[in-house]
Amino acid sequence: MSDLSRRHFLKLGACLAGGACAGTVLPMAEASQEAKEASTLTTTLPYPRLKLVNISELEIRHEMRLTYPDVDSPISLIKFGTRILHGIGPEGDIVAFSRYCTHMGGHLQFKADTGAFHCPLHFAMFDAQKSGLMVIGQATDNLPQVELEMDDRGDIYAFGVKGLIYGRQANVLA
Amino acid sequence: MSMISHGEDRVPIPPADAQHYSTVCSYCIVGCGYKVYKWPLGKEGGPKPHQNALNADFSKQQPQRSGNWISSAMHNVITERNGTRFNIVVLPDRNCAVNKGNHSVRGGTHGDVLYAPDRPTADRLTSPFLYRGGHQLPTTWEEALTFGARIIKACLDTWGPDSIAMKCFDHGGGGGGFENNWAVGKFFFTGIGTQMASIHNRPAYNSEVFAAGDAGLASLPASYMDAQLADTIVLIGANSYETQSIYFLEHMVPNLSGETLAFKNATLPGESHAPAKIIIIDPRRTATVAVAEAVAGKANVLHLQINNGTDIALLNSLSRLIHERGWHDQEFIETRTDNFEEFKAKNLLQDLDHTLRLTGVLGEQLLMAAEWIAKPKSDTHRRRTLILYEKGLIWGLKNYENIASVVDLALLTGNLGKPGTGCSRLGGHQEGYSRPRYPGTRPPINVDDVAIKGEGSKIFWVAGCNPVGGTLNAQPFRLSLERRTSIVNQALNSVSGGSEEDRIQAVLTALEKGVFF
Ligand code: SF4
Ligand code: FES
Repeated sequence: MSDLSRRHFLKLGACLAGGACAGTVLPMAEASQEAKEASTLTTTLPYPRLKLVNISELEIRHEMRLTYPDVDSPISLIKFGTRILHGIGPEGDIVAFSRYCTHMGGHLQFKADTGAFHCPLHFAMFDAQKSGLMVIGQATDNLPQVELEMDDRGDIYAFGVKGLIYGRQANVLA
Repeated sequence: MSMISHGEDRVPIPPADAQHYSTVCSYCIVGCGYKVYKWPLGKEGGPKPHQNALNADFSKQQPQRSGNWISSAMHNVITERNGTRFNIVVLPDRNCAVNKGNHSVRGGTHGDVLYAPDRPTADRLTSPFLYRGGHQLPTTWEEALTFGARIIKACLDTWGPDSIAMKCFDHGGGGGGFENNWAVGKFFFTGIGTQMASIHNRPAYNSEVFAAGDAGLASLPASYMDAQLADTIVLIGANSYETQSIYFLEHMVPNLSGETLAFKNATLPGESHAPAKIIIIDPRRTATVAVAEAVAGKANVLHLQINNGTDIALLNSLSRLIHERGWHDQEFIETRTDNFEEFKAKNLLQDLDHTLRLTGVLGEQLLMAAEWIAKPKSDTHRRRTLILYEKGLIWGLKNYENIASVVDLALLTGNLGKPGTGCSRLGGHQEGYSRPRYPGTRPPINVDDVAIKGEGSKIFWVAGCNPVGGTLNAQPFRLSLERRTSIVNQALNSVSGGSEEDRIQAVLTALEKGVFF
């Protein structure tokens, strides 16, 4: 098996573990390699670069409700206080996700105690500390994660979304 | 296939003139409907309704449950034999009465799991393997087939048809179904004529719930509508949020939440209706329990967290309690059943205190379960209870007695053949079942037991299943298989440099002592 197909094989294995598709399946080294690959994904969509908030306005584990890439796409931005997968900022703890469930578009609720997004429609659950990984539920994709960067002044910008937002053919509407 | 993270930020949409087909999910027996769209690679539908086959306006955000969102997992690109490439989208059918556009984590990935040479599904076993010098090495189909066929023929001639045992999948659905099942039956039953047959997840060639069949019940006597109409739903050894997900989400959950009340009143007038209550019998606190509590409120969910293997005591105690309180269905018993006296003398004598000790369930929980199952709603109306069970009840050394006691409970309370009632499995996979008749006796031979005892068959043909994972007495079975196959491997190793003839002779000599895979 080539390196590439071996990696694919591991991916396949991870998913076939079924409901247990929770991040523990891949050893850490594999997981970070996967992550690097996914983030180099090239997009042809004209994402706007939008300032969302300044880091000084964020409270730990408190969800900030915003929209991106347009007003019809609700997102939540959270600063966790401890380093998490794909977090940005000085502590690597800031992430933002689409608030539409990737199952059938339920309006997700973030719960600080679980650190996850919960869907009231069919009870899917997505872990915000693991790059939006579905913990349980009937969705077939992780929660789309907003790509963020921070400048010297602490202003946090969104410049893309990884993963398809529910209810769209393309993340940036035609 | 995804690691459930595709990363893509757009999907192609089918153009208005895309080919489209209706189909059914290839995974479980719930049978959710799907629409398949197929169109040439390089072409795409536009975002305006008239520009795409879904008639949807993708220049706008779609509302929740729109039923026309294509997730990345629903799309793939396939290559036909002549090299032409096509986009494929497999979308849950919003007009299907079963799923209404909903899908489970399995059904939502029909696109992902299609074979594509440039995706992980390309990792396939494409050539047969033969033991050589202690390793399984790839070989040609021709060599493998000749080798296998000659050994089978030699066994058949020397020891007769029962020297060839088999355990084969009988999955229908995706990629086979009728054709697979028919070919397997034709080969083993018509061609070889062996009785040593068993199905992928059981030790013999029988129904998984033959006690229900013996009691005269059809395999699936309830419809999804019954789940919408029931006063009480009982789930035993089943985690239906995660398996049979759409049956649970689209047909049970709306009854638990009260969403089907108007339908209940209209369909069954003249009796009182309320949102359904649910009893979940499972040693584990499952996702199904959590979801049921969230939907129905804790007061309407009774989770009997019994100790492993205590189903029979629990179910017979419920029967006893119900009978003692006079909540049984006398008319049904008289007109529809026989052997009631025998049932009374056996099941209804179950000691209740003993049951509480065995199961770990509290007395008030037991009584509450009896009430929810059978306490009449009024002088004129019985409760409508739908009893559904799965592997937790089916799989165990007491399979027959487990199923018999749940069927007896349903018969005692008249919960069969009326709207909102029923007693059956939730159901497994799609079957597409069609085979020539099994040539053996009834009840059929327990093939795994024969293997454990070291008797009988010389060849054990295993296809599409893990024989040790699906048997009742796993460890002795595993050890027996290991011991007997290693004899053959040793024989093959001893002639690893030899001709095909040498190898066949070596195997046949070894078969005098062991079993061959
Ligand atoms: S519940 Fe899931 S696996 Fe079963 S038929 Fe429906 S979509 Fe397929
Ligand atoms: S829409 Fe979120 S779980 Fe179904």
